Amino acid sequence: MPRYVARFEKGGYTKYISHLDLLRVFKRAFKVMGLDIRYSNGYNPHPKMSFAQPLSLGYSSLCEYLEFETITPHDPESLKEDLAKNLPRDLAITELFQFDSEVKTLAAESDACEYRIFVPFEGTEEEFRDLFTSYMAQDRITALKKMKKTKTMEEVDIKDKIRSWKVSKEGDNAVIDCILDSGSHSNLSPELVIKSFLDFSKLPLMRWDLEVQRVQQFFTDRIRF
Amino acid sequence: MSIDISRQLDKLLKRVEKPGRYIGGEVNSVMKDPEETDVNFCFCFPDIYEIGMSYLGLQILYKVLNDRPGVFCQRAFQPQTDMEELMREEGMPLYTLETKTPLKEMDMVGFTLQYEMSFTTILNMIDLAGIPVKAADRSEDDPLVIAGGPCAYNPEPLWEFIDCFLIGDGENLLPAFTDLYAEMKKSGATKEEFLKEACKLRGVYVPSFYDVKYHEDGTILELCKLVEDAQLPVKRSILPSVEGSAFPVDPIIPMVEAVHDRAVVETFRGCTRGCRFCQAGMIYRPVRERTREKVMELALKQLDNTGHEELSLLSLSSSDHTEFEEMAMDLVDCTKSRQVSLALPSLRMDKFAFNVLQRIQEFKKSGLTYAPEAGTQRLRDVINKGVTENDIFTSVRQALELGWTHIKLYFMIGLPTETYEDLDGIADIARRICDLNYEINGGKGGRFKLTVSVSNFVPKADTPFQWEAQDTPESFRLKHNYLAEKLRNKRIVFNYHDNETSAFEAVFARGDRKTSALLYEAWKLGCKLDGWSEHYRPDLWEQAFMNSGVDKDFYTTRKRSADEIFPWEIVDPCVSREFLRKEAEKAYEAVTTHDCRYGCVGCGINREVRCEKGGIYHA
Ligand code: SF4
Repeated sequence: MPRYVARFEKGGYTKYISHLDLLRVFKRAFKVMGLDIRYSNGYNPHPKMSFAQPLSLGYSSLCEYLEFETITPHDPESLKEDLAKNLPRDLAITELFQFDSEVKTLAAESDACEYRIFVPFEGTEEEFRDLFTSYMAQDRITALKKMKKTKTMEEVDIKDKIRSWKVSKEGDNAVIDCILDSGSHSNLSPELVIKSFLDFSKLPLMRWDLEVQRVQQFFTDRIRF
Repeated sequence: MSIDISRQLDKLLKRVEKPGRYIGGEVNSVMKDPEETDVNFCFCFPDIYEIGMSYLGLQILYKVLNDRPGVFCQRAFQPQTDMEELMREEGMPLYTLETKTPLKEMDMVGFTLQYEMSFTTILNMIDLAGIPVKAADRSEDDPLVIAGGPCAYNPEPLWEFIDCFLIGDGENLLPAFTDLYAEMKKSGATKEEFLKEACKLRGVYVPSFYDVKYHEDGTILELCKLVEDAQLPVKRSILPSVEGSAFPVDPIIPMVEAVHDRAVVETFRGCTRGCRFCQAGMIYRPVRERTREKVMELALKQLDNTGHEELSLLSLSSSDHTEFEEMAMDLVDCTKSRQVSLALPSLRMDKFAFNVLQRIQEFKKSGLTYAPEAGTQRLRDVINKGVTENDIFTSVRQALELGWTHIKLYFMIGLPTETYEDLDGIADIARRICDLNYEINGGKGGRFKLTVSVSNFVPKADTPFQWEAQDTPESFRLKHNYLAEKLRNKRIVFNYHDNETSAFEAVFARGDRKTSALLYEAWKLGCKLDGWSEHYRPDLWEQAFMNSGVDKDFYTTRKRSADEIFPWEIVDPCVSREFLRKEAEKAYEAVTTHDCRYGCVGCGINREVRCEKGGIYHA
């Protein structure tokens, strides 16, 4: 079955479009294009299309992946053009390519994601670096996480899940560039980093003062884009 | 775009539910440079996004205006309460979805008046925009606040808040209005100067150009104009034909789910049936149809452009279209092949309708809907609802035989001349339908359910019942109890409407200028989104009546004398008062008036425009 991956940006205000609504937006665009999306078999057929990793509501992104299957093959270039025309203007398709792979889904192969976290900060870059360094220097970095199964809040140590980080200053913001575990084997939401960092640093900020952008997604070795 | 707003907005949107409804940027929404356009217009819908975006009129006027290079039409809706609270806390004004510009910076903001219960929300939106709520307090820097839509036929409750009303079909009037504005803005005219010119356009009503004098008993002595060029009465604007009129085949496609995410085609405007309680049936005359070819074209284009999975027809009575049967069959075929579901609302339940419904399997989703409106033949004759008992039972029998399991009946109570015998009639119909079900489906009666919905009659301006008294809340309550008792049956679900809202609705439906004080008080006390049961505050409304000194009964339960001058007569619906009165007199005699497709019955609209369907019935 012809299989494709579209890489796109979630820019402007589209960061406020929820995962489910975004799926509808793409479904709608495919429908208008008249694309022969393949449907699953079964009692309640659904279109074969899915995102590599859901993005939290409120995050912008430079790098989202949507994979989908069609019945007949298409030229990726014209598919890209056509799709771009039928999406809201702030959802920009950056790449669209054929995806011949053995893997079941992209989502299952997700390994890590890179984020930029924008923290309003009046001090200098050095001051912020000191602050974040001492945050990272803790033996354990604990955060409360809602457990999927029991629905209870449990304390978890997230330190090992932060693979790398660096900080810089851009205008009024300090920026944390970090790569975090992602996927079913080990996953860390930027929300836990933000929460624990705000608690640790005692910065007089509310969660909504911060912006988050996803910059890149990394997959297991089985995926080669 | 205002940088400040967008930065502020980012903080707000992270804290509210469904932020997607406050961002714009949908497919087919329009972007222009406000600096490059002569008229910056904001279309305001006084309800939340999901409701407003389901309204066809918005999509039509959005297109009509944006098709003009000199005009940029943007949108605004009432935010949900969590968002509004934050906006007020942070001092963020209501802004346009397209460019995030404060409404205050627009040339014009235009409200659509779809239902009376949205009036407080209009005041609220004006205030949230940082624009003075009362027209008299606005300066040259404030936008012009205009309004149109069905409730503009009695504009008086809003007279203090709206600078100018546009009455009638908007497709031609609104562009003429904005063109004139653009021209006069260039020559540096003031708002007052502009309105003095604009009031010469047919359908334009500027309340401050008129005065109303009252008798001591509160009824109207005289309607007078204060400005020479103002028209009295203001005749509604009428589109002679809708066949070629603008229609959005590429409507905005919301990203968050709207109430109705579907393609809609208006098949015709107006209605010839002449139900005496129905305002729409009077103010949208004459019937103007789109041809079957045009309907098909608009439907197909829209489905192609939007990918909608549902198509619905819009009119006051689907089956009355001259070419309905052929059209319906065409639509059934084309929607089937595209796997689009088809909705055919307000069908006359005849043999053909059953055929079509069987084919589109509509009955699987919703039940059979029937609106006899009244329980006895006598009362149906009074209201001129041309439905007989035989019609009802023939359709119901057929429905049951075809396997429908849910039947919904709609009635009104509190209709003129109604007695408890008419209520017994409702119960009788319900009981006989249940019996019929046992007869057809056997002793156990299957999964059958009958819903009986009863709404409270609200007398409306520009109808033959504009003289009538509304029932008192007490009387409605007794009637509801009576019916509830009579309809006690495990197969029957009985629904009825809240009594208080229908009283407020009634006050504004026939309100005069004095009721604006009530509206203002109610809003000041915190009323808004009154159409939503979770926001509706009857206690505050009661308080508002006290504070404003507005006498509810004067507007609701008072029967008007035949020669009383009505506040809404500043506006001329072009259906004559004589006709309405004659219809009222016939109602008292329970004499019906036939559908005017079978021959003109003299409503008077043909003095203004040719009646393409009058007297020409194609059966
Ligand atoms: S003028 Fe005559 S035909 Fe035309 S709408 Fe009125 S009653 Fe009907």
